[in-house]
Amino acid sequence: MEEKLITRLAEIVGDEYISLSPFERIKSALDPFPYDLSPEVLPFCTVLPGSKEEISEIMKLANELKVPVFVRGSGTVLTGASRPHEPGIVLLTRRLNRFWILEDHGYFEAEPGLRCAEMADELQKRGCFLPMWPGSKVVASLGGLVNNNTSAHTIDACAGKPGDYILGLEVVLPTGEIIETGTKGLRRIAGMDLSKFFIGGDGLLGIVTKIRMRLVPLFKVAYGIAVFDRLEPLAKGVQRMYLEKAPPPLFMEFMAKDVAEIAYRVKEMEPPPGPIVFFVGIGGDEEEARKKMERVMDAFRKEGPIEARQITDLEEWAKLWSAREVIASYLMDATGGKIVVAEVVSNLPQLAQCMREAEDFSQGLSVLSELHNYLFGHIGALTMHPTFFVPPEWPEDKRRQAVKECFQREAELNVKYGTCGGEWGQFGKRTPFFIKRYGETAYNLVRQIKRVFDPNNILNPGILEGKR
Amino acid sequence: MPVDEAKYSEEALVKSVENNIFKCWNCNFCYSTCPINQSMIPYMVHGPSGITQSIYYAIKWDLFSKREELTHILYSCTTCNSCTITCKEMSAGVEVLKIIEEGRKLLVDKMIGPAPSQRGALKSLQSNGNPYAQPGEDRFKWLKGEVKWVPEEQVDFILFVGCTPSYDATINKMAKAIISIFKKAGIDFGIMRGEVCCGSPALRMGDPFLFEDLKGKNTENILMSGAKKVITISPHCYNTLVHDYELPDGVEVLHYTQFLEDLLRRGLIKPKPKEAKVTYHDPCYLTKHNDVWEAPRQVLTAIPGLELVEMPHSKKYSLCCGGGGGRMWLEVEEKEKIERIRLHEALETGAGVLVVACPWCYTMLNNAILDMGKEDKITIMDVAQILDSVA
Repeated sequence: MEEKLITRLAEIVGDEYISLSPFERIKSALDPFPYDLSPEVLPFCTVLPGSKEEISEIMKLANELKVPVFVRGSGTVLTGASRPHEPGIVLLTRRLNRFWILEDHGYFEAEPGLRCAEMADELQKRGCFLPMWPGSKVVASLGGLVNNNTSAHTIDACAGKPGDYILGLEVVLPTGEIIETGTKGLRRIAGMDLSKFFIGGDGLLGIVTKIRMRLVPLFKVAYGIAVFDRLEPLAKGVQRMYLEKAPPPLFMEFMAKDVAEIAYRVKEMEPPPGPIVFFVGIGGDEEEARKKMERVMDAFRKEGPIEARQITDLEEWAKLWSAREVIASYLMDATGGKIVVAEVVSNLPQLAQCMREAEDFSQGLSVLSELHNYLFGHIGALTMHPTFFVPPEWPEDKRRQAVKECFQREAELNVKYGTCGGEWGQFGKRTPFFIKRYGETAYNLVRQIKRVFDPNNILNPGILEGKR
Repeated sequence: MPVDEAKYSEEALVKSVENNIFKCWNCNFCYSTCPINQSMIPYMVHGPSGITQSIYYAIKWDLFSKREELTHILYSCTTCNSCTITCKEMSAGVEVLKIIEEGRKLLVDKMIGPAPSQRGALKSLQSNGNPYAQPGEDRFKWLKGEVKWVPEEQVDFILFVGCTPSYDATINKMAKAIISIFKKAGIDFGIMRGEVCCGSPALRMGDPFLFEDLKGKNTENILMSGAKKVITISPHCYNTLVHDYELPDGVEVLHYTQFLEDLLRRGLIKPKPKEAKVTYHDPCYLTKHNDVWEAPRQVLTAIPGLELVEMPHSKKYSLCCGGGGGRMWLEVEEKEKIERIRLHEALETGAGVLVVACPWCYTMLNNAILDMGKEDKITIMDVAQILDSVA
């Protein structure tokens, strides 16, 4: 079967776009988890199709031969969704990296292999903003971001999800048919919009081959920062921002005291005396941005901060922002370990309590509790990242246990607070959470939907089943 | 100096790879600045952590029987160092290039690497002291006795000419321009009669023992000369002398652009005006390995009337020319050659002159100009040629 598969794949994509090299197959199956690849999951081959038609042919062939297809952009997802659990075809989307900015239509179109930062840079040149801002934006693919519908570092209450800007898609179905969804106008569909199955579809229902998104004009910004003596009043300040109906900022990040100390030291700044929260107000002009930022600041001022002020020194802001953006790397450098990170999301009324639990995240866990918890996150979106660094001397099984415990505790907390992750997708390592949170009926519904789109379970199997 | 063989043993190299790769979490951020990931088919092995994971899994799963694949993967890298910088600035701070270079040493140790086309260069380094299969005694044939020779004469400064300016007729203009400027400025300098290759190609291609041999010969000559400064033409020689030689504290190594900048600052050269719009291509071994980008720009902007325009990728974030890391002797299959990608950037600036500061960048980009038939749009000159034309 394998020989037939390879021969026919080569006929579809051309000899130079299929690789049987063990090294390519290994790297195409690795992801950010801190343990090595198991030889038994090694893919048969890696293919780099150059068009939707080729992808369509690949899917038809895979269905005929009953071989799984694992689609990958840059493989940066943190839930295991990009690490295959059984041999199959790895389909890399990077060759599909063209884009078209159609200003007279009010939208742009892009292919899934284009990287987030590549698209954002091009849009910025034309005075537009790409409403997707993951920490991995220099490599994260647009296809991956749309499949996860991730708002990443931006605050949902201000900017929404990428899906809120998507006008339409072109999709190759798991069985190989090609469909178009949505509109070429600027008004999104009312009623049934098939786009919604693929936007945030966790890569289960189709391969997105073109994305059409509304152009978002760039805006003016104003920056603010507040320093507290503890995390609790900081959390209460965020609650107050929502309760007092202050305009939610585009970004609002926090760092616990020890994390902020490391970040400030790296940037050669005097460390703050406690945890910090900093944020970006936006507006049509500078005055509007400043006013909106000030309304958020007022909320924090009522919670007794050590300091709360607008940042007007762009250099100070750049240092602070870049320190936060790459804080994980500073911590990896400082600890010498590999990252294991959770995404704890609170509801609004219990934010302070949830933050305490995020601080005590590893309590009672057999392996993770051996490690220090570095806490930071997108607090404007009520999101916290308890973060740990696995030391090199830990054996493979202990590293796997650390990841397992991390997702287990994340699930417990997100179930407890009635929330869910807003950044990394719903399945993979999170399938047990999904079942616990939404129940067997909901889970079975997703399985039935998957069967409708993908009767042979060819596309990205193992994600929904939680085998990743 | 005796070579520390234990440092290059298989065991030591394996350990070094394993220790350094641990922090790599496959975030793949390094792909965003890697030139070969732009120029080659975008397979995962055509990017920094694809290369490092390949050597790691070759060790872990004993895949060294895949000789051709491993050689292809390990030697396609230009060693520009963008990956290490990106990882340091944005991710885990992995010494990415170090792993690649240790991997190459491991392949040489196992008699797998380098690529067959590169072996001739190493052989020639051994027998001729240059990688170009040229007789060692012809190195300075072009000089015709117009300079002081070291060690016969004691001098303040040594000009370390290097192999490409000595043997390549086009690049030789760089050496001649530098010597011309030195003479105009009244600099007391000499050239080492016994100069051999600095050893960079050997080191970059994974043969540390050959490197140590060449290093020993040059070190002895430098010490005999009594010179306090060694000025190199190639950034590759500069990098090697600074980081891989163990010269005493009293001997300073400078790239020629740094020395020219000093001459201008001291008023020993007074450039005449020149109306030209130029763009400057940063060599990786000056910028990404040594943080040197101001000196060459200061030389250029010291020329009245000369307008310097920057390409989108410049200074520490410059784009490689594709010539480093032993690729001068390797034909790599690329969808678009790295040097052409770079030349496109230069052409888009509208500059009439593309200024370089490295013999290999000169060769690569000059070839791109000729291959693409852009001679009427842009000409190539090095920093010294420009300054000499107005000095």
